[in-house]
Amino acid sequence: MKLYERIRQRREELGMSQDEIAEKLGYKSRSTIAKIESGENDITQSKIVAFARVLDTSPAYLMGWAKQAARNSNTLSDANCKTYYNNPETAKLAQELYDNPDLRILLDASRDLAPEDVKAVADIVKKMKKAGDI
Amino acid sequence: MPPISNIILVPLPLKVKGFCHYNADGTQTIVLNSLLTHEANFSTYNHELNHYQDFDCQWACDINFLETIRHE
Repeated sequence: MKLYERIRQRREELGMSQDEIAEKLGYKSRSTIAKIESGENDITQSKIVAFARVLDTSPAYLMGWAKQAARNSNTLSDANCKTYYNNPETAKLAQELYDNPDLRILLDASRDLAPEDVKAVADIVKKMKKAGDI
Repeated sequence: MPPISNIILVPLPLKVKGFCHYNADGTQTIVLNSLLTHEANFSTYNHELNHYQDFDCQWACDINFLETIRHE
């Protein structure tokens, strides 16, 4: 199944109209959504994230990298989920940092980042927050 | 779009180029690694701006996915 087919399928699963999706994504009319769902219009990678948000799913699911559509199903243990970080523990820690409302950071780091480095960053952020720097 | 409240330089592990911190008030702070070169920091700043402009902070994201597309 292709990206545009998954978008249409997910929208139908949620019982949403093309008009609703268009409005939430800031498109002027549903015709753009219709073109995307028919494969006539391609969408940029950053728009995939926006579609995933509106369709309450993960970008990984829309891309076909994850099997389940539910948003929280995009776990890093999913074998079909394409990964950036080479070390699964690093990826898990980076995800936890992002998901933690008290820390909430998005790292720009090398693929071979070690878990210890993520922990070091978490400690630095905590110190910065305590000092009122961020 | 919430403003970027601050851009600061901090010594970080060498494999960490920088990061974006989403502050409680909805603003963002970009933290760059002071141990890296000006050129590296400029590149990281642009990377963080891409996250910022695409609202990467505002929903449940798969970090692996985000970084994969941002680094392609």
